[in-house]
Amino acid sequence: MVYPKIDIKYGFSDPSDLEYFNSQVNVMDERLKAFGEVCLKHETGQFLPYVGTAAAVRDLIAIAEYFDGKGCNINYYGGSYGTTIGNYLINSKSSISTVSNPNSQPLSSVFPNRVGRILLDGMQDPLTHASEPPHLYWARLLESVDETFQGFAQGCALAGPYGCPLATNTSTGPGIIEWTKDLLAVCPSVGHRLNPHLNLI
Amino acid sequence: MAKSVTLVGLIHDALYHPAKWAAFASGTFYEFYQGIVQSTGSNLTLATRSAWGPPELKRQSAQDWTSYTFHAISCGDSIDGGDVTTQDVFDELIRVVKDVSPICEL
Repeated sequence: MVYPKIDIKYGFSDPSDLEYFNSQVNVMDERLKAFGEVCLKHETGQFLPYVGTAAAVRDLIAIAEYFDGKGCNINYYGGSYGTTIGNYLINSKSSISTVSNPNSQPLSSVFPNRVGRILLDGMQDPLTHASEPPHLYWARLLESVDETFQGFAQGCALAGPYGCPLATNTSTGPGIIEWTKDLLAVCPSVGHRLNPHLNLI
Repeated sequence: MAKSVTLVGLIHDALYHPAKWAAFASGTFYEFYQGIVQSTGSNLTLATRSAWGPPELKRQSAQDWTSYTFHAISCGDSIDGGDVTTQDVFDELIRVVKDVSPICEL
């Protein structure tokens, strides 16, 4: 399956990039519809109604019971999205009362009694995960990415060329970032001018 | 030939694992840079690597396929988008790039 990408290298500071990006709305809309139809027709499409964190937690319970016996307490370590699995496992009904997805409801009143020892690291907000349309996730997913990249670049510059081969003896963090932008600038793009007739398969 | 979106994706993934930043910089990132310079004839330079041996780290594969696991789980868990349109999604992407992650804005 090919899912075409639109490559905008520099944010949308170039008005022509913004114009091009917006011109692809209808093209992408048609492709997304076609993609959805392909998914539904695929032999695994029948399982789509069961995809989700609620189902993952039920699987987790089943696996734990296989090893530790029926009714066992669940000991769980989760990081990042795994913290969402953990929150689905431990949260009470009242704490996710804003969740309107029925897929989430049965969890809330069943599994708190099964909680053993739980460690959640790198929290994802379970409320927004379950109560907002998914396209609003992006803002949260990228919330700290610029600051983190600055940390990477600063660390590389401090390490110098013997610790980080991207650096020179005089590199700075901002310099590494600019160098990365220059590298992106000479990289070929993909799909900047999408072929609207590109076959999805 | 490696594409810009590939590098952006590799960096984005690597940022999540700071304990592996040194390995990433010495391995995948540096190899990507070398590959681009060789394939494009770019004169983009940095320090010579004479004191370095070839990367001993296993190279991460830059996947050309897309996993839809995240999308499927996100849609399964979240509320229905209702009357959200593709234009709304594009508008949100533009907003996020400008307001949340503007590092690549020139």
